[in-house]
Amino acid sequence: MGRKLLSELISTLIIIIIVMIAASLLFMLAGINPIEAIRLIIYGALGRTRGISESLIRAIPITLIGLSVTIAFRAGLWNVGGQGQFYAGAIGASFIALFFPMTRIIHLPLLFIAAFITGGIYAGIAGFLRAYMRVNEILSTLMLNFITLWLTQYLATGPWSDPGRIIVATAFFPDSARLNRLHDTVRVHQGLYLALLCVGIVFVILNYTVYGQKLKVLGANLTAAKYAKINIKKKIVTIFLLSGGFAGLAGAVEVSGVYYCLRNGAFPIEAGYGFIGIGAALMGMLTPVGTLISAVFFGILIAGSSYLKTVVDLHGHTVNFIIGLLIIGMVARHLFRPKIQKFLDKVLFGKKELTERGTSSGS
Amino acid sequence: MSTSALAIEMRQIRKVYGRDVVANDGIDFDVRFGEVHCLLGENGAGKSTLMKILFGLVQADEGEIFINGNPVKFLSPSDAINGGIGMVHQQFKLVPSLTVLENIALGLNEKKLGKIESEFGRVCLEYDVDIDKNKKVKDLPAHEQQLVEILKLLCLGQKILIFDEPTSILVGEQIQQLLKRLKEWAKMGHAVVFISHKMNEVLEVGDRISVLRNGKKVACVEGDGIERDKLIELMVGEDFKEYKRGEEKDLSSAEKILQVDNLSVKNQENKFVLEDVSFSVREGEIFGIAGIQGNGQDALVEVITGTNPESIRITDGKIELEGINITGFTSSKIESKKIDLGYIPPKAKDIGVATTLSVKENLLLRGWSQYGNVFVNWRKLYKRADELIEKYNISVPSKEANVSTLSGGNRIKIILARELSRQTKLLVIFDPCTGLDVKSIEFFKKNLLELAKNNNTAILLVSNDLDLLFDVCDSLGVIFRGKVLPYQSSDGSFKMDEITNMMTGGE
Repeated sequence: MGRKLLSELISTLIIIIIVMIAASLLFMLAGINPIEAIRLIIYGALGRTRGISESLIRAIPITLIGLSVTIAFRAGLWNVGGQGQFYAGAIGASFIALFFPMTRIIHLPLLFIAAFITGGIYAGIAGFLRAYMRVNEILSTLMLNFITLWLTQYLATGPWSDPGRIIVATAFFPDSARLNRLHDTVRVHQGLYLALLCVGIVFVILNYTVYGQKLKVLGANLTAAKYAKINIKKKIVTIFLLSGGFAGLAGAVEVSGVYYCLRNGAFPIEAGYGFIGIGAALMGMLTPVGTLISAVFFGILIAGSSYLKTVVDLHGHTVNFIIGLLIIGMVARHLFRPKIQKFLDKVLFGKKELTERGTSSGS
Repeated sequence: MSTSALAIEMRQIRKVYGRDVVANDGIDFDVRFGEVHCLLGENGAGKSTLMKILFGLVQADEGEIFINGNPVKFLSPSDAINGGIGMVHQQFKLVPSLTVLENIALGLNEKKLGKIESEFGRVCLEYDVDIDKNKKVKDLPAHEQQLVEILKLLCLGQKILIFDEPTSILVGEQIQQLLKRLKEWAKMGHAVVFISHKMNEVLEVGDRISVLRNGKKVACVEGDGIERDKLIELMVGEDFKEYKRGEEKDLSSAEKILQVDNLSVKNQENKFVLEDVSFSVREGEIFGIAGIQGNGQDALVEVITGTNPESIRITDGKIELEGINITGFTSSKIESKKIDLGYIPPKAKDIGVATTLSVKENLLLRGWSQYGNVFVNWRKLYKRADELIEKYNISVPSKEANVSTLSGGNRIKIILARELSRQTKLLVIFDPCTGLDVKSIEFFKKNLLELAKNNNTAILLVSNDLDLLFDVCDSLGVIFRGKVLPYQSSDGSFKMDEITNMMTGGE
C-alpha cells in the first residue's frame, strides 16, 4: 500500500510541476517574473493571517463538494453536478434563513439540514433518471447545473431580492442564521468545523459501514454488485442523495458563513467550486482526508492568486486558467492511473512490477 | 519418429519476474517435426511463460532458442510468426463481426481476395476441414471459432503449432475430434505443442510429454507406456488423493430445498432461453446439470439466484427456495426475505469478485449481514479471513491487497472460500474449476462432498466438465437448447457417451 501511495503522490507532484511550468509561461507572457509570482502567491496565501483565513474560506466549500464527488465517484457514478447542487443547497439554506427566523440553536442546524436535503434531492433527480431510465448521469448532472444557477439569479434579483441593498441580493440573514467567525479579525468561519466533521463522517461511511462497502462494490463492477445482492437502483438513488447533500452543505456554508445572503450566482470563483471540487477529490485519490488536503491546496492557490492580482497587473481569469489546468491534469491522472502506476513502478522499483501475478504466471 | 529434425530447441531457459519469482528455471525443451509434444503442469508451473518466451511475448533472462537448428531471438510475436511459429491462444484473436474468410485474410500479407479464397480452399481440402467461409465468426460455436484460428495459421504456412489449453472451451466429442486432428497434423509433418493440465488428454495425444513443476522441468517421457498415476505424481510432486462420491445416498425422504417448476424464460428477442424446466434439489443432494456452453445454463443460474439482466424475463413457472416462492426476485429481494444461498457464478474470476477492492473486502461480499448491519465488524472479518486464507490455501500478499493483483486461480479460491464457508442451505455453482490447478480441484471436490454430507447442503452444480460431474454428483440432468432432461443411466452409473449424446441433442 505504501508503494501505491508513493507513486500517487509522485504523479500528483509531476502534474503540479507541469501546471507550474505552464503557469510560468503565462506569467512571462503577462510580463511578470514567474518566480516572483509564485513567491507572491505563497506569501499571499500563507504569509499573513488574513491569507491563511482566505485560503481556508475557499477550502471549506471545496472540501464539501470534494466529498460529494468522492462518494459518487467511488460508486462509479459521475456526478459532475456539484455546482448545481451547491446552488440548490444555497437556495434551501436561504429559504430557511430568510423566512423562518427562530433561535440560533435550531435555526442554524435546520438551515444545514434544509441545504443537505435540497442538494440531495436535486442530485437525486439525476440519480433517479440514471437508475430507472438509464439516463447518463454526466449529461443530466451537468445540465442540471444551469437550472439552479439561473434560479439563484432569479430569486436574488426577483422575488427574494431586497430593494434596499446596494448589490442585487436578498436581505441579510438574521444573526441566528449566520456562522460565527473564528476570530474578529479574520473572515474564516465555523463552517470549517462542519467541513472537518463531514470529512470524518465520509471517512467512516466509506471504511466502516456496510453501506460504504456496498457503495465501493457498485463502483468496482456492476455485475459483481448484482451478484453481491445489492439493490442497484435503490443504491444509485441513495448515493446521489448523499452525494448531493454534501454539495448542498457547501452552498449553505457560503451563504451563511461568507455572504450572509443569497446573491447573484455567476461570480467567477464561486461558479467554479463545483468543478474545483472534482479536481480536489481526484487529487485526493477519492479519499476524504486526501480531498481535505487537496481542497486546502486549491484554497491556497485561489487566495494567493487573488493577492497576486492586487499587487501586480494581471487579468483576473489567469488564476482560473491555472486552476482549470490543474483539474484537467487531475482528471487525466485519474483516467490513466493504471498506466502511470505501472510506469512509476518500473522507474521506482526496478524493471518489473512485483505482484502476486508474477508468481503464478502459468496458464 | 525420433529421427525427425528438431523444429524447436530451447536450452536452459531462465526467466525471473520481479526480484525473486522464478517462472522458468533452466528449462530445456525441444520439439520435433512430426510429433505432438505435450507440456504438462499445474497452473503456475511455468508452461505459459515458456511458451510466451518462445512466441516473443516475453524475453528470457537467460537461455537460447533454435528454430530449425538456427539460433533465433524473438523480440515480438511478429518475429516469431515470421520464424514459422503459430500459436492458438486461449482467447481467440478473431474479429467477431467479420466472416471466416475475412478473418483469414487479416492474417495474411496477400491482398487479393480471390487468391486468398483459393488458398483457403486448398488448405481446407488438404487438412480435411469443412467450414462455411462466408459465415460471420460471431455466429459460429466456440469450437468452430477455434478452427478458424487454427486455419489462419495453416494458411500462413506455419509448420510449428502451439496450442495453449485448447480443450478448455470444448466438450466431449469436440475434444476427441481436436485431439484426433492434432495427431493427424503431426503426421503431416507439423511440430505440435499441446499445453494442458488435463491428464487424460495428454495421455491420449502425446508422443512425448514434458512435465513442468515450480518452474523446473521434472521429466520428459514417451507418451506410450506411461501410467496416469506416475504422471500425476510427476506433475504434483507428491501423493494425492482423488476424491469421489461415496456410496449411493437415499435422498427420497430428504426435504426439497430448491424446486423449479415448469420454468420458462425469454430473452430480449422474445425467444425462449429456457423452456418448461422442472427439477428439484434435495437436502444433502448434489445435482449436476451438464451442458455445452450456450444452451441456457447462464440464464438458469441467473434467474435462480436473482442476478439475471433485465432483458431476460420469466414468462412462466415457479422457483421455490426453502418453501418460499422467489420467482422473479432479484438477489437483494431474496436477501430481504431472510433467505440466503451460496453462489459461484459463471466467469467467476471476473464477476464473483470486485477486482479493484481488497481481499478482505471481497471476503465480505454477499455475506454482509454476517459482519454487521450498519457498521462492518472488521475484527471478526479479519479473524475469519485468516482462517479462510489458510484453510483454502489462498496465496495473497496481504489481506489489504487488491484482488486485481491476484492470479485467476487465487481469485476463484477467494470466491470458493467465501461461498462454501457461509453454510447456506443451497449452493449454486457454475463451472468452478476453470483456472484451478489439480490440487485445488480435488480440494474443492472434497469440500463439496463434505458440505453435502455433513451440513446437508443442497448443491446445484452446472458444468460442462463431465469428469467433475461424474465424481461428485448424486444425480444428473442435461441441458440442451433451453430444456433440462433428467439423465437416467442404463445401469445406474454415469455413462460418458450417453451424456455426451444428450448434450449434443441426440437421443
